[in-house]
Amino acid sequence: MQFANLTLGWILSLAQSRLGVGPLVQSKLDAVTAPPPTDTAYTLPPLDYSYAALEPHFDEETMRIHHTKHHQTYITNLNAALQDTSFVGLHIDDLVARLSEVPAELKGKVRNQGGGHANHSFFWKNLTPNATALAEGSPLSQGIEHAFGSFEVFQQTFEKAATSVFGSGWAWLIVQENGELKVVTTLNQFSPLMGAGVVGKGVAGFPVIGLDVWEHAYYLKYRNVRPEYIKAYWHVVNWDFASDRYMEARSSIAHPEL
Amino acid sequence: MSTSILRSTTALRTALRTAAPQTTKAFSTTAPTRALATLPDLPYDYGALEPAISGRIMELHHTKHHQTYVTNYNTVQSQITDALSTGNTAAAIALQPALTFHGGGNLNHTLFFENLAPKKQGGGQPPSGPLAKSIEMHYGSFDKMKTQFVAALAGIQGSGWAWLVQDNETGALGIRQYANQDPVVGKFTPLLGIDAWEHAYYLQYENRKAEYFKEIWGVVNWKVAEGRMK
Repeated sequence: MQFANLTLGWILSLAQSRLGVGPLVQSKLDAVTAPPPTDTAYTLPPLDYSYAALEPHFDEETMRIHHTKHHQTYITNLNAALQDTSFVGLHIDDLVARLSEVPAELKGKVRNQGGGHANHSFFWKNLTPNATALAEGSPLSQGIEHAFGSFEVFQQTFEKAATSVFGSGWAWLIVQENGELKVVTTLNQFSPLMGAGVVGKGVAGFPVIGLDVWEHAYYLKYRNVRPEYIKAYWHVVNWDFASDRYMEARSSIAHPEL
Repeated sequence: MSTSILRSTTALRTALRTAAPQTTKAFSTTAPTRALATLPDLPYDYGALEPAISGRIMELHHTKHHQTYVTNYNTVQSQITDALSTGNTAAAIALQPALTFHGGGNLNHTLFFENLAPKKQGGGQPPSGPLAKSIEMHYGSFDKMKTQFVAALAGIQGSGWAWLVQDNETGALGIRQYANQDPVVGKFTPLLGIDAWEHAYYLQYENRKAEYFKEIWGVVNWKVAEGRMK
């Protein structure tokens, strides 16, 4: 339980710092007054690229349906569930990190729909039509080598994990609370951001890259051949974004290992 | 042999009751014998369920998805048998999720394809015998049962199935959701299943699963479901 609270606190502070407010300041704010609920419902974030931009790896039709139908549906359902609650207006990563605070009757909906919104919002940023290889010697590259021995072994580990999800879910490279990188998987729309209390100690952390392996993510082009889709993913990973995520996570850890 | 089992209701009931995959080969060495599963044929053409389910989906669903479960189930069987016969309990137990997934996938799809039928083979015809009576008793009406069934399908998060089941002790009917490829075993007998995995409808319905959950009733084989009652 202690460990779960530590991990959650760390993830929460990361989520809050991305809103421009560090944990020390935030706790002072909390002590004074609770932020007033806004009525800003969640909206579908636009992609930084066109639906066709990731061809031939990720096809245009899938990108369009995935974004405008699947992701939008999570947002629509989440907004409906949160109407008239004090959770409206929270950044989505903050919401999923605070799942334990959500009333019991809403928890399932927020976990599924909120998780879906958080995961897909992250996913679109995680992809790019202008993918370049991860720079050797960069902090993330060093972190990967430290954790896996080599980039190739990391790739194999990630591919194996993504292939072996039995059903719908995601594969992730996360930074754990101790600063170490790890490949994990989650089912359905669970996110490592939800913390140890929800996804378990071994899966909780800050995502650096993530791959949607729900069938809707690849079925139109790859049919049942998920391994081919996973191989295609390497052509569209946004390693700049991933590196930023890695640095963000590491800079918030007092004494990272390594 | 596998095709004739499929077309004969009596043999089918027996096969399902023993819950063993159809045997076509056994190893006649000193190794423990294994019953290898094979992909059962469909009792109708791939295109015969249109427009409810496209021929393209049926062919992929059968020759790729179901076949993969069969193949992997046989592999897992091998691995578990080897682990058990060398006394490696930990390894055998570690294979449980794979057994549930691939073995369940084989069971589920075998039952599913059998509980579908083209219209001209009775697909979509509501039940009339003991199953009809039981449905009326437990749900009030056939339509009320369907409404609950569709709600169960719509409520599945991620991949899974919804089944009309019979309680083995009380005989009562129930509608249950099963995640991923978890099969109906133990306390309940599966009567009628609908696959809610995205691969079951995506090429035709895309994200519009509510439409699929509505159209599939036109090709459901209630006679087969009734034949599964205990």
